[in-house]
Amino acid sequence: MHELSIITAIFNIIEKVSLDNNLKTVHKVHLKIGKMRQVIPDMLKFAFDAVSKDTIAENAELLITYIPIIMKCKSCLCKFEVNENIYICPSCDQTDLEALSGQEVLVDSLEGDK
Amino acid sequence: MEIKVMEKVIEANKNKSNEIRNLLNQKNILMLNLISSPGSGKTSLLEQTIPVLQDKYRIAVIEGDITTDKDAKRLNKFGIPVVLINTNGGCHLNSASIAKALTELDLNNLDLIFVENVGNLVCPSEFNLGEDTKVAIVSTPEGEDKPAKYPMLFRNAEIAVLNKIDLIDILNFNTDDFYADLQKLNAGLTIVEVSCTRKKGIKKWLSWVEKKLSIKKESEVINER
Repeated sequence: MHELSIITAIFNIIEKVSLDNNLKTVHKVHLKIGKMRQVIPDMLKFAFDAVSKDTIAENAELLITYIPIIMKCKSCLCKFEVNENIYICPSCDQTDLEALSGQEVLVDSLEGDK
Repeated sequence: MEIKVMEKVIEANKNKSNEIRNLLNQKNILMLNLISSPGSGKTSLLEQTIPVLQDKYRIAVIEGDITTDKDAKRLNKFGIPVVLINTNGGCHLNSASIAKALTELDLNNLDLIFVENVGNLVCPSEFNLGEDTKVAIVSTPEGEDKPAKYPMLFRNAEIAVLNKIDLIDILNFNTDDFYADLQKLNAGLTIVEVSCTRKKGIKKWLSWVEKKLSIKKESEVINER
């Protein structure tokens, strides 16, 4: 249930951004989460509802966009998406890879009213 | 109105873990973050490791436990510093709790810190603690499919320790599938097979730890130059 740690951190960001932009209510929170992250959407929403109670983001909708796991082969420099846990370059079979995306957890944007 | 934020959520943990990494690099201390399910044998592995290495190296353990001090008590017999972190329900350690634990240790007199994370294959692998590397421990009763089911840990670890190999035949543990999945996930991963209760395979694990220690010491020479 590390979703609670993540949501608490997300909430600190929401509060800071709302304060900076004078938002009185927050309706939507857009998150981007890398597919490598083992985050369960329902758990995230559950934690969000618990933490947002009695705050300006109460009843806000949590919208999650998943970011694919993209690797770059250090040998042939080709870029490919990782599916089914296969971290092997499809063009040259090398396994020395650089991670380009897939591990992020970020608050992309907020929607709200002043 | 929509406001672009683009802020990374786990940044606070990451910043703190970078501070810890820098501190431990300055002090030339190797820190290994042991992650596994409950009951895979993290404490048992330490019980096999500490008595052999403690004559040569100055060792401490940071022990993550949800509520009890049972694991810490098992390690107290070795007379090395053991700092207990009770997470009180928390399913993983984070870098803030490690930073606090480090203040209780004499960092000028240490070569090696083992962090025994809370037993859990998911959450601990999401949070860097400033360790040199993660050690994934998995035991045969859990089944050969754990790497495929919990890929993040095995992708990010440098070594996987397969414990309870004395039970392989009884459990029909499929070693071939286990290795094949790991090969796909992380071709550079070192895999060692051990049985902590039968004291088998421990030497291979110990030599991996000693190799990591010597690499850390070599970087010390470079730092001093």
